[in-house]
Amino acid sequence: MKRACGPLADDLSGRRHHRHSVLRRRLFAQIYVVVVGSVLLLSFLVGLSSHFFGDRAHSPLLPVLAALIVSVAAWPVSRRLTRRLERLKSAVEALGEGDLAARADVRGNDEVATLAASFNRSAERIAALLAGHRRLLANASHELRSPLTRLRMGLELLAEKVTIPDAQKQGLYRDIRELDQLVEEILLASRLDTPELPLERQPVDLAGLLAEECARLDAECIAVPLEAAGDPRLLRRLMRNLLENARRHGGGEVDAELIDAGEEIVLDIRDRGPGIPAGEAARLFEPFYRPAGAGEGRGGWGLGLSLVRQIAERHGGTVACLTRAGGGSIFRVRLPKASIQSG
Amino acid sequence: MTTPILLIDDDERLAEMLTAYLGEAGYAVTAAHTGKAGMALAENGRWALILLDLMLPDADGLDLCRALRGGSAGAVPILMLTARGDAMDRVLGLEIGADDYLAKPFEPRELRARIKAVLRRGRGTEGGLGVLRFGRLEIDRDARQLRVDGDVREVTGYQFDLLVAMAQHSGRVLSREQLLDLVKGEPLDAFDRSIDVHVSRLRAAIEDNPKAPRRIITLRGAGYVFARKQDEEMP
Repeated sequence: MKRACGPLADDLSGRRHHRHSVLRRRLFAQIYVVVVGSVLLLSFLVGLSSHFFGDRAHSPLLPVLAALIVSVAAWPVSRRLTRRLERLKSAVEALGEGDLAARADVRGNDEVATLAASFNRSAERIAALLAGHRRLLANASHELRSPLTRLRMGLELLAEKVTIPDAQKQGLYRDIRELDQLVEEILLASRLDTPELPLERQPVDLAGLLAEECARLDAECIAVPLEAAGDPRLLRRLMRNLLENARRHGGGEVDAELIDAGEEIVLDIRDRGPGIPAGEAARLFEPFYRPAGAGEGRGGWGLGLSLVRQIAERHGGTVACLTRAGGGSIFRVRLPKASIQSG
Repeated sequence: MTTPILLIDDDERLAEMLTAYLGEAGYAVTAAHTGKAGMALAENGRWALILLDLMLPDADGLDLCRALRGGSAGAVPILMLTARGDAMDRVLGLEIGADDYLAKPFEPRELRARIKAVLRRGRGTEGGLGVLRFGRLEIDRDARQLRVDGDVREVTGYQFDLLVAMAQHSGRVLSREQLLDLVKGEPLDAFDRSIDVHVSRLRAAIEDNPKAPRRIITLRGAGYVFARKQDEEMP
């Protein structure tokens, strides 16, 4: 799942392997130089002292000879140390790549062993934190939505007993829906932030999905039939969030286009809104980001666009906000075909 | 006459509210707050419907649903209530024998409508082709009937087959040629646009606003898409 396959992946792992062997050689050389160098220095000092303090029995060649013997003897010592550091390093890297069960081999009682032990303790802590996170995700949805359900139900019962002005009632309904959506978005953002929780992957008809979401918001849709493997719910949300964002902040004229660009799929959502200043375009995708001067009342400054970015990235893609010629913005999502297909 | 409903939900205050709310609509709700108590009540009573929460303190709603199906209350329709909105769970809920599914927080009116719909359908579609449901639209392949909000909408036999073919490929772009292949029978020419005429009749029958279709969508230059998510707030 996590590892890509195909020529691209072969190339990647080949490069990674190459980088490893270079690092390994360099590490070995460093250790070797330190060991041999220190012995050489020592024997040179010994030779020097015997030279000056008159012990003529020593040949001046003796330190050189000793150094030679030592350098040969140091070979296996350096090698062993290199190997142990190498093993520790691969455990650290495995953890970094998401293998939570990765632990280092604790042997001996030198600094390397201490380091390995403290690495293992950190790994334990990370695993425990993630397990807690997963539990939280499973329960938070239930715990947060129970009171919302009661609130919604209570409001309905109340409205039957007393007369609440319709505008106020609708406002309360909307607030509850907004809270519910925020709960959903926060939980989703949290799930997407955890690479250990895998995405669903199945063939998705992107053109069909886009046509459906555009129809929902009365946006113009131009698309070529295009299929990709991904999480259909997440890809739908990506499209919906972008379209809703364009509707909300980009004026009445919204259109979407799905383009087959060879190696990748390009999705453009275009609007004729006031546009985004260049300096703010990148920050737009931060959670709860609100452009300067934008009021609370307009709503929708939540996680919408940051979720779009997370979803694009989890599918190996990117999203950017570009300035549109003639006014307005283009939100461009690029999804690589290869990584969508293999994950 | 009141209709007996068994509610299995650990949220006692919500159960109280639901009892009052559904009581006004003519349902007699009995609440159980644990899976064990719910199971015992289900086995020892006569129920028209069971409302089942997915997360219970002592049992997993899915397991309980399976157990209910296997027990003496196996013929009673089950409507699942849950906080999880995952599509996965949605499918799973129906696969293991729930008749419908509603995500919390739900609109109380929608709960009432779903209860009504489930009671009307009852159980026992097994053996038949079954009903395809898309939001408020029901495509009943056994009765060869289209319903929106329970109201029957009239279409011709060919149009019904065309809609079934689209519904079975919901969410996918289908070209006119593909549609013609899927609906055998009446020989139609792909170029004479008669399929478009049938589509516009179908739209008139099932769309809330045929001018701005939400169920059968045209993708210019490619064909038609039958929407997978209809009448829904969230994906």
